[in-house]
Order: sequence, then C-alpha cells, then structure tokens
Amino acid sequence: MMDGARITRVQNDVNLPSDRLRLHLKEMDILGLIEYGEKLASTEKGKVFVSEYKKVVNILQQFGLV
Amino acid sequence: MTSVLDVLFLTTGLLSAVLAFLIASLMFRSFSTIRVDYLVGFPAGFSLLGLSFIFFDLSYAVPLPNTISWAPFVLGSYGFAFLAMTYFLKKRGGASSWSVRQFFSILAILAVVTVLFISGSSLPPISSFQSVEIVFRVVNLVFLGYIIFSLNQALRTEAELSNVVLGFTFLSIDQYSLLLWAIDPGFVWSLFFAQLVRVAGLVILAVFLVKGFRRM
Repeated sequence: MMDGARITRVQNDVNLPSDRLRLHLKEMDILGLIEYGEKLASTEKGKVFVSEYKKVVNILQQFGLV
Repeated sequence: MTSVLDVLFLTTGLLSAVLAFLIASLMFRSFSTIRVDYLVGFPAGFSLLGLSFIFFDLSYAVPLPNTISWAPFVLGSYGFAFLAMTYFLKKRGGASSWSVRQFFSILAILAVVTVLFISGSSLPPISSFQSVEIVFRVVNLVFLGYIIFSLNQALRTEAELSNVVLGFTFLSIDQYSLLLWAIDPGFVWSLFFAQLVRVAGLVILAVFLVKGFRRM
C-alpha cells in the first residue's frame, strides 16, 4: 500500500467540492505529478514541479509580478 | 568615431543582447511553469530589447540601410512597452485571459504595423532626425518610470533594496544618458557611459534570475 494523504483530508485542506477536486486530481495524475488511488502521493516529477513552482513564485514576487 | 569605440560598442551591444535573451528565456521558463497570461509580456519585452541592443550598436559601428537604422528605436520602445504592459495588467488583478490576450495582441499588431510603415515608406535618414530619437528616449523613460513605480508599490514592505529595482534603475540611467547624447551628439562620454550602465543593469537582473533558479 502506498504512503500518502487521504482524499478527504486533501479536500478539507484545499476547500474544493469533491467533483472539482477529482477533476484536478485526474489531470495531475495524467500529467504524472501524483499517484491517484485510494490515497494521494506525489511522484518524483510532482516533487520537482513543486520545487520549481516555489522558485518561480519567489522570483516573481521580487519582480512584483505575483 | 574611433575604431576602439566601435569595438567597445559592438562588444557591449552583443553582451547586452546575450543578457537580454538570457533574461527572456528565464522569464519564459517562469511563464511556462505558472501559466499566468500577463507574464508573457516579460519574455516578449526582453527579446525585443535584445534585438534593439544588437541593432543600436551595429548602427553606430557599421553603416546600415536607413530602414534598419530605425529598428533599435522602435524595437526598444516596444520592448519597454511590453514590460510596462505586464505591470499594468498585473495591477488590474491579472485581468481576464481574454483581455490580456487582447492587450498584447494590440501591442504586437502596432509593432508589426510600425515596422511595415518604416520599411514601406521613404523615411528621412535617422541622423537628421535627432528630435525623433529624443522622443523615443523620453517614451522609454516614461515606461521605465512606470515599471519602477509599480515595483516600488509591490515591494513597499521589503526592507532591503531590491536587485530588480536596481537593475531597472540602471536601465533608466542608460536611457537618460542616451537622451543627453541625443540632445548633444558631441557628448560622446554620455554614449560610452550608457553602454556600461546598461550592461550593469542587465547583469544585475540576469544574476538575480540565475541565482533564483539555482536556489534549492
């Protein structure tokens, strides 16, 4: 069984209705960013993307663009 | 103009262009990660500036056809316009995707129309049009003033001096020095100083971006 978070827990954290959350999760699963099963877990590609995203947000904040 | 100065202008022009394209590619990386429409103005703006730096320094080192002599001024002003437009759209709360595309499309169409107008008409030689150059420099300074004002508004909680503000301030000093040179063409030191300040400004922005992407 894979490690990860329960979908209901994630749903509470992101504050989205279940149907919309599942759409996003399916899209992220297709992109290979997460493993979408009974539980949710980040893939290596997902972790790399989150790291890149944080760097970009930090840079854009310094440019006053976000 | 001596050949030493020609070599210096070619070197700084090439260096500025490489730095501008580097900044454009890193900003495109940011845009492709976040996919916020208005961010596309940054890679577009710096790409146009890179082209304008190449043409500007070439035009003073080697004789170019009249049409190409106008290129650095037009490309430079549109480059700064794209950067200023990015801040304008960000201030409008990112605007809707549709209106962002509309704004950038209008700007891109205007740029193409300007290029077609210049290449299709028999404009007088740029050397006899000092006043036109002054207008372009003033317009660039207005755009840069708006960028720095927007940056200061966005970063007003920051205690330290921002490298980004410093970089854009250097680019403003570059334009101001070129304005002085356009008013008094005998003041060659102003042109020389502008080259150095421009490279310094672009180095500050490029180093900041490269460091930002390398940070773990």
